[in-house]
Formats: sequence, structure tokens, C-alpha cells
Amino acid sequence: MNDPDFIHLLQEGEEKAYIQLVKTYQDRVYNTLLSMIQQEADAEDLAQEVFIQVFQSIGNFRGEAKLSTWIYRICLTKALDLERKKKAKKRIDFFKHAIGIGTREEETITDFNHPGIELMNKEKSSLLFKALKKLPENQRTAFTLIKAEDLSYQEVADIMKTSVGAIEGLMARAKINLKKYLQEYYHS
Amino acid sequence: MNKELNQRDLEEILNSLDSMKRAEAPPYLLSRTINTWKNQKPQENMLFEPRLRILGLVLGTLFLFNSLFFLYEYKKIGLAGNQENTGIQSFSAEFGLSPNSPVK
Repeated sequence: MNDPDFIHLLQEGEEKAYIQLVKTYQDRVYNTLLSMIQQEADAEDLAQEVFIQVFQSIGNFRGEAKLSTWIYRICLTKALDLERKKKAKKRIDFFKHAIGIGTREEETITDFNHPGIELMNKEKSSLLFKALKKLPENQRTAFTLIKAEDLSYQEVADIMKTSVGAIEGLMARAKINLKKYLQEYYHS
Repeated sequence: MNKELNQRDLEEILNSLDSMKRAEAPPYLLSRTINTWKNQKPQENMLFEPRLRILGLVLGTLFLFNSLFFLYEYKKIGLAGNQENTGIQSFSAEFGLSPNSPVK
């Protein structure tokens, strides 16, 4: 997939190459997005957006990173952008509600069940996904890529444009924070 | 689950994603993506067309107004010049002066 000829075909706009690209990466893209945003409909829409963005920007791909690394980066940018938009909308709704010009949508926290989780781990993973939502973006990104996508620390470091040491630090902090959130959840 | 989480429970929860399988993308994602991309392609080329049209319209309007303004100004100058000439001619005819005589 990092074959320069294949990338050249993509840059030339070859439809077969696009189809091959989507076939190869669709599960990785969808799984990453689903694990990050925890909503199937949004993950589907964003997966499509990711590929469209890949098609549109493939001309700028210089091959400095692996194609998969580059696609993961687009995925994460899209996922985090969506999260930020949702948070911003929530803040605006809150403000509108506070000054009495709008209605505030009740936030419903639904349990997320990832389709790839074994039945015996459903309950535990659902708790973990809930706690993951509270993590800072970079910790959540590192944790999700390592746990849900089974990527190596080196691969995650490449995607996040940082060092392996930094990823180890992020993972350690993520675990500490997750334990704290899980304890809080159980004590509340 | 108990209301108290011990270290083992926490570790189990944290490791609950370890054996997870990758979620499969919906089967229609490929066709949907390719179709959307195909439909977007001509629109992309036309992306600048509306902008260019607007720009052309604005520039055209400006040019038209500019031309009208200059035409109007030119006519005004021309008319004033003619009126001035007619005035001088009638004045010189009345007082028997030649048209080239200096008028004080």
C-alpha cells in the first residue's frame, strides 16, 4: 500500500486505486472513528469524509510517512474536530438557555457497546468507554489507538508526531486518570 | 459488579479492550464513498465558477458605472465648452468684436 506506483495511481485519480484504498482501510478508519466518537452513525459519516479528504489531498502526500499513518492522522483530526464542534454547540446551547433564548437539550449518556468486544467484556468495556470520554484528547487518542487499533507505540508516536517516550507517558497518565474516573463513578 | 472497585477490577476494566476485534465498516461505505467522490468531482471544478461569476458581475457593474460617469462628465464639459463658445460669439457679434479678440 505504500508502493509508490499505487500512490502515483491515486494521485493520477485512478478509480480502481481509490476503490482498493477504501477496501484496504475502511475497517481501520471506521474502527478508529467508532472507538473515538462512540456513535455508529457519526462514525459512518466521518469515515466517508475521511476518504473524500484522502482523495482530495492525495496530491499533497509526499510519502514522508506511511500511507496508513497519514490516513490515521486525517481520521483523528476529523474525530477530534467533531468532538470539539459538539462541545462548542453544547456550550452555546447552555449559554442560550441561561439567557433564556433557547432550549437546552438534555444530555443523554448512553452506554456504548463496541461490536468487536467479546460478550464477557461488554459491561467492563462499556464502563471504560464512558471513562475514556473524560480523558484529555491526547491521552484518549494514544489509548484508543493502542487498545482499539492494536497499534504499536512506535506507530502511535508516528501518527501523533511525537516520541515513543511521550506515548508511554501519555498511556501511563491515561491509565491513572481512567482508574480515578472509574473509582469516582463507582463511589458516586 | 460490587460498588467498590479493587485494583484487580480496575485492571480488568482497563484491559477489557485487549481482546477486542476491529469493527467492520458497513458494506455500503465503499459504494457510498466512491459515489459521493464522483459527484463531488465536477462540483469541485465548478467551485470557483460562482465566485468568478460574482466577481465578473461586480467588475462589469463598476465598469458600466465608471463609463457612464465619464460619459456624463465628458458631456458636461463638452456642453459647458459649447455654451462658453456661443456666449463669446454672441457677445462679440453684439459689440462688433472679432471672435479672436481678447475679452476682458
